Amino acid sequence: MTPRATTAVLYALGLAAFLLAGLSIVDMYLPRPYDGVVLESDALGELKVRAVVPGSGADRAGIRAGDRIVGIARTLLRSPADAAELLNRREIGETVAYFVRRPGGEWRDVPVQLGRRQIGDTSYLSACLLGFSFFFIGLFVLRQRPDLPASRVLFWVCTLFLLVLVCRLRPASYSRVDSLVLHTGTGALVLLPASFLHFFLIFPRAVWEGPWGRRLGALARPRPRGLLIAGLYLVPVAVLAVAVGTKLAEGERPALVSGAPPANWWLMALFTIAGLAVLAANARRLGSLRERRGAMAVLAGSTLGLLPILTLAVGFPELLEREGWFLVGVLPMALIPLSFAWAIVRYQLLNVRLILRRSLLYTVTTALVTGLYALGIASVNGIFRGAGIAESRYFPLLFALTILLLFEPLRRQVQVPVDRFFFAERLRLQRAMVDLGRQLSARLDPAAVVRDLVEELPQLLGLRFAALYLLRGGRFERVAGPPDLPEQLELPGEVFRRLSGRTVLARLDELETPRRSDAEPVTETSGLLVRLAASGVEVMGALATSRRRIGVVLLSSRHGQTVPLEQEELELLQGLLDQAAIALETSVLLDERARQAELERELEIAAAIQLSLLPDHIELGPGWRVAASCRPARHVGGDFYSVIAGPSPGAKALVYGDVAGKSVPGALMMMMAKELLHSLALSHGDPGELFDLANRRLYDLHQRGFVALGYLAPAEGGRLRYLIAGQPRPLRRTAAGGIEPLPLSDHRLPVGALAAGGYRALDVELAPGELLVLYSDGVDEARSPAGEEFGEERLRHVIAAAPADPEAVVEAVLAALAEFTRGEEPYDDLTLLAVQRLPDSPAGGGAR
Amino acid sequence: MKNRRRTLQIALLAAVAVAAAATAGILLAHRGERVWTTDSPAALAELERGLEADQKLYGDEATEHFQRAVELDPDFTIAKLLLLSRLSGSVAEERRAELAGEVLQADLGELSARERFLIEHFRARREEDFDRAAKLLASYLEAHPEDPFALNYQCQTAWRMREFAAAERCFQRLIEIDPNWVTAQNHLGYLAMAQGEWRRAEEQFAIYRYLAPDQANPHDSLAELLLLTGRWEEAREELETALAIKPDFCPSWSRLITLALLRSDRDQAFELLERIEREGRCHEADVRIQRCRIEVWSAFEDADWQRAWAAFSSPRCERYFTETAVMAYQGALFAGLEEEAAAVTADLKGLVRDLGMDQGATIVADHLEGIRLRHEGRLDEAVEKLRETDRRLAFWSSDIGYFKLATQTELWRALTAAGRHDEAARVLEGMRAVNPEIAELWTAHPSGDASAAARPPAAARDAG
Repeated sequence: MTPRATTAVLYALGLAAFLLAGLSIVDMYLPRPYDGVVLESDALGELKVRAVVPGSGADRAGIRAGDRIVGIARTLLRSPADAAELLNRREIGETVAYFVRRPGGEWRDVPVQLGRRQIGDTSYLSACLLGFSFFFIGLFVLRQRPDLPASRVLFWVCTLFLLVLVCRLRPASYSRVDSLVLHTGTGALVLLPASFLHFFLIFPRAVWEGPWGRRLGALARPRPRGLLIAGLYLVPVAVLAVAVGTKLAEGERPALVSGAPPANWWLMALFTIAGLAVLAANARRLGSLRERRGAMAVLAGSTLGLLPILTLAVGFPELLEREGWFLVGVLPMALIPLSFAWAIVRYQLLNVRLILRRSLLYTVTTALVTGLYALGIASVNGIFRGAGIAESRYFPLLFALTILLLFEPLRRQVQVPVDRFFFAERLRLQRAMVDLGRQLSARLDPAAVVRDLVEELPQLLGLRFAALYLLRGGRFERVAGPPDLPEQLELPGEVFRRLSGRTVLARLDELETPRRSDAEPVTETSGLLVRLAASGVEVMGALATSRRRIGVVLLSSRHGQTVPLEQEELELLQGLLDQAAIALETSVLLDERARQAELERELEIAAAIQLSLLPDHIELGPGWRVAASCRPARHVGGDFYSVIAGPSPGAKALVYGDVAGKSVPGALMMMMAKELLHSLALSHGDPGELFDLANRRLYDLHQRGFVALGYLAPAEGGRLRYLIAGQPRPLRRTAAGGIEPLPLSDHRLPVGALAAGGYRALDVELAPGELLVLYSDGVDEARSPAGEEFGEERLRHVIAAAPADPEAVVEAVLAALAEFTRGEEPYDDLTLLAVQRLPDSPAGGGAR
Repeated sequence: MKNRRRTLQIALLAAVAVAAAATAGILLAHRGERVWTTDSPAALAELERGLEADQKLYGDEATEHFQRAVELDPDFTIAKLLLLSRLSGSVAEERRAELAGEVLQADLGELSARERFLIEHFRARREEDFDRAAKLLASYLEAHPEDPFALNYQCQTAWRMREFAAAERCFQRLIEIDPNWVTAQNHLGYLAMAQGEWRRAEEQFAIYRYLAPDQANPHDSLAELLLLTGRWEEAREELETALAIKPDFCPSWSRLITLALLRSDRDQAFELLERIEREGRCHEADVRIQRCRIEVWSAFEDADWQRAWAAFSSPRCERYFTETAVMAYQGALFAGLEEEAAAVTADLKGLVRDLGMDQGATIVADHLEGIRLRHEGRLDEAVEKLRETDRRLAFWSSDIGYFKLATQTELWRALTAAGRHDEAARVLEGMRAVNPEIAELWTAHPSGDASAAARPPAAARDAG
């Protein structure tokens, strides 16, 4: 069975035991006719009187301890259930004939007046309180550490204690519930010593992990170990079966002490002694003095707690029937949970202060509720005296249920004053931690956050040290903490994820990945955790926000190792670390923001420089008018236009480009491409040759950068020579107002994209007044807020509709783009050129 | 969080499984409890009340409940059978025949096993096919060894067949299964009494009295034990209680008279006789017999043998033969009226012949023979005869118990006369263990000339 399944089964058993114990108590106080007889629970099948409630009907009828109830209401009884059935048919106040046999053999036929049920004495109340204390301690430990086998067995032990103390010691009456409750209690009593021994076989260290276990060999393997444990539980059951079965087969009633035959009590004593011996032996081989002291505390508590009850049960069973001696036997058992709790605190399994706090809280609330109940009953009895409501047998039950509903609101009300009264020091610490959290939240300086974490926090909690590791370059680097801790923490990502996913700081052993078998090698994480533990680290917490991982905090144990960090403190600390993480993240973000602002200022300067490099006015020669605009998508862009040396000496040519990449890298590439074209154009007039050379140079840079280029130079007779490499097709606006795209040469890949060249320029003749519009893809690919592209078609319409003037065309296109994009930041750099052959010009080539 | 939820789910499933198992266990434990077939819960309740009343000998009450059960469910066959068993001869024969006819014709198909058995057993007995009845009982008990109704049949059969050991085992088994079966407690009381286990007998009778305190018989049964064992005042109280409950309970009147005679309080005996006549509503013959007893007993106590015989010879003592006949026989014998004494024996034999009385009458005859042998001085023969008679007697009731004590008294006399003092002392010791007062009183009585002459002084009796 897996640990999770075992835990689930234990929870189920615990729930059943708790419900049964509750049922037992509720049943005792349900209003029903009752004679005042408390039965001897060890007299199987008999109704032997153990005690008589003073002033009850049985008491007045002269029934005494030791008598046997043989008949009720002229009916002989076979079992207490018969009596329950007969009494339930009667009314409170009715007188019923009882047939009683006195210890000396005298038979008495006596009338007994039935009263309201009221049983349970001081000793049983003590036993109940003790039983539930056991149970809640076990439950708390299991909830805290369900992964530990010792926690699970402890819960089992505590559940059995609950059943023994609440069910087995229940003052038996005739209720049908009695048999179920008492027999379950007997079962628990029989199994209890086995569970006790079982616990000490694995607590504080498993015996099979010690020298004995290794020596025995077989215990190293789980299966024989499982059989051994099963055997522990089967032996007392077998002894019980044989002891009772033998007597019954002989036709005799087995002699019982608290439900178990003497043989079982002897076995219980044997198991208990064995358990204590194992604990004593275990304690000797514990590593630290602190652990040894803890184990010895359990040993002392268990011995002193069990010795009286076992001595009485084995040696003087008759004394257990007396109230005073019963208390002498039962009350010392309180030492057992207390010593367990003390020891477990030592091993960091249990927060005894929390238990104490809750116990006090619930005690106070219970006292208030009980007071309310008593007051309510008394009031109703007083106010409605003689009325049906006060006499109803269901009234107390309904009233009790109503009062129980008030329990939780009352508890909440009581919590604050109880905490204030009993836990002033603890509250002071909580408040100090809350203040520190506020202080952390207000920090903007990371150095201050670090100081708070590694200096103030240890001081507050009394820790020996705290260390802080921050994530830098993918590694956790120590920024504060003792020098004997590693400079860098090789913490696997998976461990950090587990750490940051917790709501509470983790003890080091909680981060250990359980090995499936002893043969599995020790992981790196385990090695790291062992080293940290050796350096005195006790717990670890992650500094992380939902957006980023920041670092890790390591905390030591307290000074003197007196009390470990408690669960509640660990929860508070995790909150504190979360606030520190936010503060650190905020300071990092502020730092980044400052850098960004500085960069932006620099970029603005660069943009200004870049703009200043663009020619203010473009002059291609007589008969030609040019208008241009270039707008980078960010501060600096990759688009440009320029005037370079033309194909013939003195002539000018217009180039425009769009560099792959934007921002600073794009701008740098643009500068390089522009300068390259300028320098090459001085010696190579042919545009095809110019582009081939530029292509070779750019390709050889191996920067995977390329430039979409356009080239335009006036030629003879109103013609223009153009070469388009990677840019959109230029659009020609005819004199008639039509828009025609220019044809392109075959090789028109961006310059620098491929090693091969082969660019060839084409000519186009413009009639006077006609316009040529050249642009980069930032124009036709501009996007509206809805994501729609501006497109060539829309561009054609704008050009066609614009006045036949280059400036007007450029302005019209820019206006249309602004409207289309609704003022959004451009998707890409944008370059737009318009060239017009002047109407009254002969448009000759070459420069003027 | 996911793990916790899963753990919680498993825990809840396990809890549900435990609850389901417990429910199934409870249902299984209660299955098959219905043994009476009727669609009417009211009729069923009446039947159960009737059975409870019947158990406690509240016959009239039981009859009323059974009658109501039949009225509420006219098809309730078993109620009819039980009603039939309660109806006495005073009820119109027509009604009994009608009920019997309905029971005999009932369809057994839908009835429970117990009902089928009871009806089939009734049919077999009705047809006087006792073998079939016995087989039915045996086979039903084999299948249902714990059915108290069938067990009761078996116990009563064993009792009637005088298989007392088997009857005792059977009754013990019956009260283990149903301790409130009162007749079993009564039988067990008498069985314990017969074996001289006074404490156990008293316990049984006390239980019997607790179960049915407003019935006369339980008080009378306990009184028999108290009477025999010498606790006479307690016996008187119980008998008075029985008579207060049921003034016509004549056995209790008879025992009160016995008690007065044992105390030699003849006035009290005659007063009782007057009370019987005044308030007893007993049969005239019963009153006559009681008068006869007082007269014979008084004469015998006075050792006035002639008067004893004369009283017995009067018409009111005709054919009455128990302790009166024994006393009269001794009276005749000691008075020398041997023919008359022989007539008593002959009368006794006639009774055996006429009434089919076997064992009881022959024991009485043997007792008388023992007295005669002692009287004739044939002491060894007398001892043998009386010892054999004593062996065959048990303390079944106060009457038979006192008869056994009388036999032991005669045996003691014969042994004493024969000079076998050790044996005589042992017999006397046995008598004292039962009733020391009677042992002293009767051994001191001058019962016949031979024995009176041979009677040793008290000190010698004790030493022997």
